[in-house]
Amino acid sequence: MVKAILWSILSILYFAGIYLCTMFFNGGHLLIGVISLVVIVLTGIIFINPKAYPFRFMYPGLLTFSLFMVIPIIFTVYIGFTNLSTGHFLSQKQVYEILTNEVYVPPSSENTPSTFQYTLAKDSSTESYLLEIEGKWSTAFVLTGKAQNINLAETVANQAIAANKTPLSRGDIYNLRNELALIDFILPSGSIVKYFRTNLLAPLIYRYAPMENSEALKDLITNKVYTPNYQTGFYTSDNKEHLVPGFYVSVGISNFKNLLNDQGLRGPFIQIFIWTFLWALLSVFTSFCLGMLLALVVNSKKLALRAVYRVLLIIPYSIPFFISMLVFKGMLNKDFGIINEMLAFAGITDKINWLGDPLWAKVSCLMVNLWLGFPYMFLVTTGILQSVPESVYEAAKMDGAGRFATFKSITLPMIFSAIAPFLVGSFAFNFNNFVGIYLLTGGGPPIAGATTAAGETDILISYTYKLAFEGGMGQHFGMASSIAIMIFFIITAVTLANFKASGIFKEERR
Amino acid sequence: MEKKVFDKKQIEILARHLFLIALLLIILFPVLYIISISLNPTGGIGSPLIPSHFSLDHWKYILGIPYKDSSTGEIIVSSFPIMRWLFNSIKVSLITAFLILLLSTTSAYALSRFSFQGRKTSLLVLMVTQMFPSIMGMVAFYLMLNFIGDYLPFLGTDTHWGLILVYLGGTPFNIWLIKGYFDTIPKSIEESAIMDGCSRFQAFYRIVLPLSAPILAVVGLLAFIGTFSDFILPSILLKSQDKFTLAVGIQIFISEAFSSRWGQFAAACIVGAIPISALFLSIHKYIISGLTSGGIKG
Repeated sequence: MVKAILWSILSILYFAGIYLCTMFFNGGHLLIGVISLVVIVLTGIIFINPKAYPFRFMYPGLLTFSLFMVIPIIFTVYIGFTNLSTGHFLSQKQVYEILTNEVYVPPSSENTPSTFQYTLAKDSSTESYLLEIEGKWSTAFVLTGKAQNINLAETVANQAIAANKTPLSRGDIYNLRNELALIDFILPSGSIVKYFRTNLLAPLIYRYAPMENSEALKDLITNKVYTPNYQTGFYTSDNKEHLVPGFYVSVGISNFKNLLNDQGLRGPFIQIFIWTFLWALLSVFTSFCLGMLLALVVNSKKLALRAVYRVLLIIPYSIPFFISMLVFKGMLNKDFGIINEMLAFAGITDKINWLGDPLWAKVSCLMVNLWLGFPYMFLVTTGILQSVPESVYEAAKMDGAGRFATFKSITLPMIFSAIAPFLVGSFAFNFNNFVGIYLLTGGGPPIAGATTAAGETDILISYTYKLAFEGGMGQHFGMASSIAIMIFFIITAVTLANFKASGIFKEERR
Repeated sequence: MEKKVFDKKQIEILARHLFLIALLLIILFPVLYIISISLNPTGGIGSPLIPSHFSLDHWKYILGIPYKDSSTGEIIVSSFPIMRWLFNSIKVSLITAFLILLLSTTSAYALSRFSFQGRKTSLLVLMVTQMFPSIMGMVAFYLMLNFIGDYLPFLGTDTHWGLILVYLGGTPFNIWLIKGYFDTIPKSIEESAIMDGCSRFQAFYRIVLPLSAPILAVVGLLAFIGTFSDFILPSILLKSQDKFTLAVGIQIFISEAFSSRWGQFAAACIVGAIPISALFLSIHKYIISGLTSGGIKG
């Protein structure tokens, strides 16, 4: 029964996948089509070939992992070497299409006006549209959603619009614009007019004409020739004028170069880079000290209510971080926040700008993160302390070791020998602790002189987010991804060092 | 002599109690403060610590129940679907947790029981990649979902299923945890079942799965908590107000007007925090032992 259901779900998904794959190829996305084809073939092999039986279990998890972990990482690397950003969101093909579809209204001359007023009405009984141009010519037609030629004739009195049809509003016409734009209306004189505005038709001419045997475009108004420039991602003329929109191109390592050389980027980037390390190190250090201290204080057999203390101490860790961060943001508010109010009550009447002053903002981030993070270290240290067998302490006592000596030569070495992986893990976590910064200060206050949205408390990951998704200064996907690549390398190095130190590789080879 | 030592120990214990109580007062202050604010009818950001009288107005606000404003007397109904956000969060987290369990148990089983080519490599890859938080690929996720949305609108940006899809990349850590547990279940149980005519798959879901209920519960709850608490992915991927998860909705709700919505925000925080906090505290003992295989969230 279960088997039948599983197999039918699988087959439905499989055929849906095949359909999707053909759609990708039809849409011209060759690479993605090939990837999905590989996935489909692989799936088929694994579920039909009995020799691949173990992979039937492995495969589903491995597939989502590849699609939403491995491919995004590869894709991020690719984007990091492009200039994908505001003004460069489209491919060259798309930009070519936009430009070659751009039209203009030729200047009017004596016998041919450049634009024509029109009215449009709908005959709801036949679903057809009635068109009348400047009261002179008219016709009835049906919207097919395809390109068509419609001939207009001299209006016979009271025939078209006048026949008690209310003209469509400009808003209604606007909604029909895409279908209307497909139609060539042929006037009795033989000239062709097309949809131009919601109240105007015009004899439109395509502005940019493709040149033969090249990718260049010729501007029919100015007669300038624009060729695609694959360094800057623009169609550029000889005298360095470019057309918008631009397209995305591979820019090599120039994102990285800019981060390290560009005047407005370099200073803030280096500052953020240093602060990210400082922030992660200090966060780990402070929360470890407090967590260990508390674990040592609570870990005494003679202490009543030990279990209660433990639960109360990990409450900060149990609350979703985004909630705690926002609560602290309110409490640290300079003008209304409870913390400044309590300080005033205690006699400190100078209001501290907790979140707006470069130094205090950093202090606030660290303090709040200490509040969030110490219970983790408390839990870990408690676990380590509990794993020390009672007999070790008894033996020490027999040998006449005092309490301080026991602590110094048994408890502390015990903690330090087991804590390292947790400290490294915590470092890696805080290195990318986006919520811990962004929800408290938003990365602010801004760094003076920065040309991007860089802030004094920004860490690399929040800077990445702001570059990519906070539109105030444009969206820089390319540069954001190149920073993500750097984070990736740093985390990899830290992780590998950690694995090597803790001997996990050896264990697995066993 | 005997008595003196006894006294010294008592003093030490007393000192420990005093130290812990003093520290707990500081540590739990924000929690107590936010509870007090949620019950304070004025509830501005600068309200006194202990309200002069209590009211449930803020609670009515976030639950969408109309109430009469105490100072102006007008009837107020919240224009923010806060309960909807909570529901969205729970929905996304439940489905994510379920699918992650489904995907990672089968993979973990294969890694634990079968020997096949590429097994060791798979294990290494899983171990290394589980260290990377998915947010590093945020630009890629956004562009990928934008692309998928052109073909499958229900999986694009601004959809819950699209968001869930992205979370499914986070299976490695869970595979790792579950595999460790499967390794402790003796193979002989399944082998005898297979001898008796059970298929491999039946042995898996009739014998191994029920035996691993504890670890499955912990992994499921951790996935639920992690998804519920995530801020960055929903904030990138979700655009329309009625699709927000609590994390995104509440952030926008409070950031727009910090001082005037403080009371309502406090109530919303408690509603969002209690289920997660309770879940976490109920499994924290398992987490201590699970922690030894890698960092969970800290």
